[in-house]
Amino acid sequence: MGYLNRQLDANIITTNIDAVINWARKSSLWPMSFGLACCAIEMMAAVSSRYDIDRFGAGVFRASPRQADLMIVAGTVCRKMAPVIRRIYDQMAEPRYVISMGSCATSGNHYNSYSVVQGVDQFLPVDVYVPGCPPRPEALLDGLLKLQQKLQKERVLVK
Amino acid sequence: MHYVCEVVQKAFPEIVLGVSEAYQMPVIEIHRDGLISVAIFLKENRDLYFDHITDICSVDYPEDDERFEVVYFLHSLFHRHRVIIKTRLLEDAPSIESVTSIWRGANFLEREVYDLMGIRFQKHPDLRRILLPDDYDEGHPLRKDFPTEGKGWRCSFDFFPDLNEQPRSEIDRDSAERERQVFKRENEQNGDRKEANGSRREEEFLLNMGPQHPATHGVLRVVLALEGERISKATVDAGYLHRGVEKLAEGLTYNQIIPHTDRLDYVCAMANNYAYVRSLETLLGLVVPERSEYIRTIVAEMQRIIGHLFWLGTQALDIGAMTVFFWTFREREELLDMFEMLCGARLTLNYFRVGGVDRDFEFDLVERLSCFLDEFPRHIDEYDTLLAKNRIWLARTKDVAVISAEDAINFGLTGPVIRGSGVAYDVRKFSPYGVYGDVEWDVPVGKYGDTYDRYWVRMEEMRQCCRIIRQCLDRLPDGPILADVPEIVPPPKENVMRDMQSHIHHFVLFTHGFHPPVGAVYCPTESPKGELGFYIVSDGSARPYRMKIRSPSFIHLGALDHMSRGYLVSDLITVFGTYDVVMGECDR
Repeated sequence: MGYLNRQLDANIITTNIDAVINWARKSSLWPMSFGLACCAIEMMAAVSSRYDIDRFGAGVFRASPRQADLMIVAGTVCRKMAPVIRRIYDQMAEPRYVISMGSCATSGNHYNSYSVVQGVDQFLPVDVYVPGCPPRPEALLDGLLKLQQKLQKERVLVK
Repeated sequence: MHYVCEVVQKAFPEIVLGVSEAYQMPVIEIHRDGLISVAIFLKENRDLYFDHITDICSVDYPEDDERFEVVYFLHSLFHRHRVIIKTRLLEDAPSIESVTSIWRGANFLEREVYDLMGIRFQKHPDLRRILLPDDYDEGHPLRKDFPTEGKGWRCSFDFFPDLNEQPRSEIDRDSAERERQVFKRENEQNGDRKEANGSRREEEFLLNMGPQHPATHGVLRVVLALEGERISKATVDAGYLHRGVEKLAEGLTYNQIIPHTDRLDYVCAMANNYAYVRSLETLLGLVVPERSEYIRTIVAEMQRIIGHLFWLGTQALDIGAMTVFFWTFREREELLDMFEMLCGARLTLNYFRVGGVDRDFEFDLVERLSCFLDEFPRHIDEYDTLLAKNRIWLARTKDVAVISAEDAINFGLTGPVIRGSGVAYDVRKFSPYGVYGDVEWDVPVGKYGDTYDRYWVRMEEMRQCCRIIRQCLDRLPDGPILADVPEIVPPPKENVMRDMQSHIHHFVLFTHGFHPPVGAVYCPTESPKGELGFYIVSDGSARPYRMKIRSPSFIHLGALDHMSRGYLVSDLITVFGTYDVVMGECDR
């Protein structure tokens, strides 16, 4: 019996802290319960019976930004709503992540009008863009997995 | 001449400038000064009795001497007739007297006209902007000289903190107080406070709710004035999802607007498609093939089931019953799968075409739908076992948000909300379209006008939907699904690459669009939320001159203040839910 085997008997594994922290973070991304338009309906579908976003640890939708790590901007961002979205984002505790769900949040879609912001990234840092009008729940799940991959590569302790 | 026109012209020979009839609806043009007397006459006269205000619209004609046109759509639920009243206003002083004192539903409608067209309504109780923020300073978007992209407001983000800015020493208390005044109860506004009784001091408490709130069904903001925990006034602040669809439509050809209608009431895309396409077909005088009418009726009813399932799940979730949400979404997914088989999309379907529908019903879809219909009534009973005798559900819905039939009509409510108050108003029965006139079904009607009755009405409507779909499936005739009118309806895709004639038609239709006759048409359709109507003004070009959407959600919110006064804060959630508000449609 070598050294490693003895350690495994005692249920000890070696890893680095960044990987553990990132693994914990990515497996419990709590989203804001916050929908704007059509995409929010697909977001709700992703939560409910068939798609069940909880399988990826992101099913605990919080109504308060103070408890959430992930903001899914689901729908058309109107100029009247923009300051509200920014304030909610500012209220979220770090580390925080943003998924821009759907064409409207990403680029304004076909609403090239006086009241629609042409992309939420004009006033928010976006981590993942999910295309579609609206994206299917599978697409949102894919976006979530992409975000998890991104999270896994983050450096926490040593910058 | 239509008898409504006759009666009005006889009574007001001085004020009436002209009468006509457009698409089976009498149109009366009157002088602006006589509006109130005509309006009172229309409402009080026993032969006319226009008790229901459907919509108010405004049109801008920059070339004319009298630049603005205000259009009132009135409806008599008793006599079952409608009328359109038009009046012109001058450019220098675009103002007219408010009809809020006659129809209370006009309150929100007039505010919308003021906001988007800049027409002032005298004696309006609360004339403020409604969809755009109060401090919006670019003008009035629906005027023809306003650019669709706006004047820069949409990309100016003044809320970013500027690091070089000096910290503000003091908040402007006066302006904050003035802002608060709007939300206070009327007698509080006038400074008419109750006398302080010893050490007790009574004061209204203002509570902000939304636009980010899990129960507001999207982005709605309500400011509540509270006395203890009771609501003394609820001020709606809508417009957080105002996308400017009516303005955008003026720059699109008629076929390009159909995808925009999907995203109005995004829970029920088919119903919106249907309403828009039907208005346009009325304008064009197009007759739709029989098979297509049947298919339209079937998908519209499938959509109604989806809409009501969605409503039931979310309303129960808001009130605190989680299971119902998962159960209704299970059946909803089943129906969405069928839509996916039919047109490849789940939510924004874009299935209707001018002159018919996009794809035909295949055999396996009919089979699947028929299996669903066998199963579904059992599921409705299942939801009832969770709710109908649930003590919490009963306590939170019975005698909550009660509205009497008279008030419901006066506020212009429609759909399940007005039927819950005992008014059997359903567009499908009043002026049948599709094949609703040929199949057997009933209009469920409530008794007390409370939330529980509206719940019951919607549950019963789902059963009726099953009846309608079943009969339509049994009788589904063979035949084409698109009308054969090459100038308007695009040719089948397979012909386009083979046949020169089809190729030309295809090219012309998709580059220039078709040109409907000059005129204006209003056509109502029963969507799951209520009466959804499109008013299309055509100047003979390929794009609408003006398109007005009569959205039930917006008009229902006009009654929110009336229906929530005196109830507890927690009941407000029930009041939102009971309208089945979808903000995309409300704010447009």
